[in-house]
Amino acid sequence: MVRTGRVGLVAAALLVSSCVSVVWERDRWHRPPPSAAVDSLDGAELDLAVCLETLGAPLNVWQVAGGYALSWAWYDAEEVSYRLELPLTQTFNASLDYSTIDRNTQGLMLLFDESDRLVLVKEGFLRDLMKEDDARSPALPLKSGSGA
Amino acid sequence: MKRSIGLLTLLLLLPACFSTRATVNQRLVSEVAAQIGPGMPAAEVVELLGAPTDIVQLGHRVAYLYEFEQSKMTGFLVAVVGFINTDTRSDRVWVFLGPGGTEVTHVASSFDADKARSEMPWSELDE
Repeated sequence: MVRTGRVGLVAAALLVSSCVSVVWERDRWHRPPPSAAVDSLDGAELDLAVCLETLGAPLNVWQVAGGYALSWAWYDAEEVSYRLELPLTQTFNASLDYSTIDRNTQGLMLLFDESDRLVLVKEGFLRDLMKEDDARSPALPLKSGSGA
Repeated sequence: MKRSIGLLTLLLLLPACFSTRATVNQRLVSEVAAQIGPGMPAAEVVELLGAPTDIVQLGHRVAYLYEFEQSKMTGFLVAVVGFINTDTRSDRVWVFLGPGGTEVTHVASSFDADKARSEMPWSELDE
């Protein structure tokens, strides 16, 4: 009797595992540049060579009107997903998917003019930085109004 | 009976652990990248590092990207609970060439691919 109960318990555990799951998943993609290095760019007259020496190789480089942009990007996303799947008949399944997602790629963007002078430093969510960059075209900001 | 339960537990747990490693492109050698500097002809860069991963046009100038990416995924799945962690880092070398794309003006390199680690989601990885 006891043995039958144990076998039943194991069978139930195996059956339940195919219907229900909870998964904690973490995805880390690159790392932000050291904050001290980013802070050192603030308020200084800098050129491309100094910025590359300070921050290392960017992830992306692209042309903008009147110059070019460099970006560093990273994210640390955590997701806990719960899945419940109920086989009702042989041909129909009822399932419920619920997940908490916090995946926002953050970024640092540096804009340079054609003379390799740093004219703007922006930090934030990468998608916002890219949107701002699109809106800024076709002209780079004046050095006097820059955040650098 | 205890041995049977132990064996059954082991059999249930064993297939649930995994560790994988995925790479993109060929590994970069830092000593070779260190040989590149301002004034070097573009042809010599290509001779040292091979064909770039990407070429970006910057007005009259050009930038070459060399990149090697490494991802490590670790997972532990038992019965209805799972833990999965992925860590991705890369080695990158950007070579900026002057007007006409003939000569190197700037070089930037970062070698972080080997810092990707196989850990669990709750581990803090920052060095």
